[in-house]
Amino acid sequence: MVKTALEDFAFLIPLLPALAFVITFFFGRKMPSGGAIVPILAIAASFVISLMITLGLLENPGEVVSQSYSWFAVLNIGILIDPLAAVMLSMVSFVSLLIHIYAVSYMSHDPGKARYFAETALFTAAMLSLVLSDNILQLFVSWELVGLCSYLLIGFWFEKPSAAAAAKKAFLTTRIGDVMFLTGIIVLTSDLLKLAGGFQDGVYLLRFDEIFSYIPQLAALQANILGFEVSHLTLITLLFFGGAVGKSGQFPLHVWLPDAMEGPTTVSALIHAATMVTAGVYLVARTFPMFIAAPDSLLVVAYLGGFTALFAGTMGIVMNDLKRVLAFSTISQLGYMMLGLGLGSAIGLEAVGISIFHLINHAFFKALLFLCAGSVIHAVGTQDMRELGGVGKVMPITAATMTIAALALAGFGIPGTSIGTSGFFSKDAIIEAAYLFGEHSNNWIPYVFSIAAALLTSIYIFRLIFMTFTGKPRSDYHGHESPAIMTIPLSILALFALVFGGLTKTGFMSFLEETFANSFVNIDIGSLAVIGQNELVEAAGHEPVFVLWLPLIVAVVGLAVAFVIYYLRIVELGPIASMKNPIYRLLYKRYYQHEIYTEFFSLGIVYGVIAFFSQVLDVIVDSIVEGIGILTVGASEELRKIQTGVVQSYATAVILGVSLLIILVKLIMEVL
Amino acid sequence: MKINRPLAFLVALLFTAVIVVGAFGTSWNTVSELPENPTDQSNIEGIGMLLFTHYVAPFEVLSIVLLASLIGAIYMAKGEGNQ
Amino acid sequence: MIPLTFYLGLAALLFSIGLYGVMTNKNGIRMIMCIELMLNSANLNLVAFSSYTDTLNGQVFAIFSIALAAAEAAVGFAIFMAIYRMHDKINLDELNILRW
Repeated sequence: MVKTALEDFAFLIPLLPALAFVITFFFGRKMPSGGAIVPILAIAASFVISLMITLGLLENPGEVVSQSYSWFAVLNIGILIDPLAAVMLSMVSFVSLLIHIYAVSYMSHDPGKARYFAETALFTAAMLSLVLSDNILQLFVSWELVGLCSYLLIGFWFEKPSAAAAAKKAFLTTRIGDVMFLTGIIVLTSDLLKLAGGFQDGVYLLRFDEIFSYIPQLAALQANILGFEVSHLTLITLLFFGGAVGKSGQFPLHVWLPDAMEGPTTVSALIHAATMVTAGVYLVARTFPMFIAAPDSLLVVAYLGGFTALFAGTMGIVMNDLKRVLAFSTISQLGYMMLGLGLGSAIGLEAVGISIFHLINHAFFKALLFLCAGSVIHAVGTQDMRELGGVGKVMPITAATMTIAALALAGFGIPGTSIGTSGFFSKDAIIEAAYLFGEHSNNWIPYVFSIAAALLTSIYIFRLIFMTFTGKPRSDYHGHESPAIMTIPLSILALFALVFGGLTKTGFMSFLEETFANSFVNIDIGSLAVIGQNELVEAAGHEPVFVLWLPLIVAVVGLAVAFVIYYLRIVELGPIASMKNPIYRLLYKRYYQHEIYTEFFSLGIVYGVIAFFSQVLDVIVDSIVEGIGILTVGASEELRKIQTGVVQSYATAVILGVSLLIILVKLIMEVL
Repeated sequence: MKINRPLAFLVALLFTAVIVVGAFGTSWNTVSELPENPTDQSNIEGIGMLLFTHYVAPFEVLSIVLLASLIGAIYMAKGEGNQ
Repeated sequence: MIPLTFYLGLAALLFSIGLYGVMTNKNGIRMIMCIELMLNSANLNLVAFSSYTDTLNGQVFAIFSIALAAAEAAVGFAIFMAIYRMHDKINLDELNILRW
């Protein structure tokens, strides 16, 4: 009874924060601390409902919450809370709640804090509705809505030109992905309408169970693109993945994420670390049956994810801005998640488990890292690591929690036991899966990528820790520990970053594997994998010992390198870390992405083509248009003089007109 | 533009011509004989009856219109300030 | 007996005289007087038709029309008084601030 009652309240999960948005938006300015209490209470209620439903699902994973209402034609709006959605819902509402509480103090001096809380409440509502939507269209609508909130919040301090530019950049870059996603939905819809024979009452075509039931037929459809025979399913999934690439900051659409750090740090923690950027990963996980049934799609996901993990890591080690290091780290970790999903071509459904496991753990420790960085920035007033140093003495709690988060990010733990930080379990699961994939297909590229990225992760995060918290202050600052309202969320997150992975390791994976076999959908992943020509292997746990230990060894090596260079300062970095060193310069300039993307591609090619055409148009079209314009202006210059403003003239004209009209009518009638 | 008297005269003439031609060119459906007896020609009583029976509603509305225009005229003519 | 068309012709003449006055006079008072002339030519038409069709409706309408003419004249003169207070004259051809 209790469970059914709870399900009836599932719609409140996104609705309460949306209501909080309305209230805060209109009345927040008159309330104390920008009306922060409204979104906090709303999100807390959402979290409680999500958690209760998740606990109910844990007992009985087959009985998912599914409610659908007709929208129009074959489309519906609905709620689907299966294991995948449930863990995401709980995580999003929980992290959002903590960050909101933290922001009460962090944003306390900002004049626009009512706007801030309204926008974050709207973001939370959109993100929750994205997670629990049961059809691809509602997911897309929410997807756009979180994109909008991201734009608004990156440009929160819009009076700063760099923030406005960063917001614009984020919006336009993710737009490329969004257009691909939308194209994918359109292709999918037209295919489904063809296969289902037009509109039918009571059948919601874009609901996930309907989509999944058409997978074999979709895979059989072939399209000819640039001379390649491509299955429609591959096309659709790759377009979806394009959307995920934009949203989750994967190569080559990752350029917006480091710039997005122009927003408040809480926004970076909420949107650009824990929740919104994982929407892409969530999308791929949600449509995983389509991906696994499509030949080659998962390989693309795996390669791109692995490459992004490594690529972002290399840039992370040279950045001097506290938040930018974390931004590149986020991109790198998102690459890991995508890699984990891509490995589904070998390990099947388990890929969703490990990837989402990493997603959840990452949300905890990355939100924590950002909030700690925010705490430092709030207290010290600078985010350039070259000016920090020795902050650990004045801010012990922040230093301790951030170190825990760093350990979790680098993945410290003892293999073969249940002792270790959260990141250890999930990241190592992905690396082991990559090993399995390599062994199975003799393709070691993903494994090499993931190990190298793990080394870089360890180096850059401990570089950050040592440069910020140890040593002597390198500039004159007055730090102080943050108030309790900030440190308590930090401590809670630190606790989760430390133990969540170890406590839930096995249960989490098996729980998530129920996602595609329940009362809503029941899919045999194995048979779909055959359609996609993916051979699945059993993860028997017979990996060599060095495979289990290698990630830890790599992490320790990274720690040691950072320790030697940035704590002991034995090695002199001067000649290496200078602009004369071409590699350093390449990394510091972020592979000249700005030059390539903005100056060459945007300004050079796109703008050049547009400029050329506009020149042509200037000559042809503009001369016509301007000719008409000049004619009109000239004629009206003369004609306006008729309008004397004298009533009598108008009366004369009216009477003359009436008289002539009567004569005209009379003449016409005579003629007829 | 200065007021153009010849043009105004011509327009007025044209308009007269149009109406006169129209009036004389139409065959009006009229009674053949007007009453000869002067007592029959007094129709005050008939008009009064019509005003207070068939046209009583327009009559009342008209009173309101007059009142409104009266108030409006007084307000505008009085101007601001001078009591 | 006098044909109906003679009355109509007279009304047309009166109307045109009023029209000419409206089109040529600059002075607001005179203009209102000319408008009254036009209005009364219409009343003449109403009464004429009323007599020649042996119904009384037209004459009732003429009474209405006269009452409305009174209201119109009252409001019109009030407006001219307001204008006079602002501009010290009521020459309508100079009240053209709304043109182009």
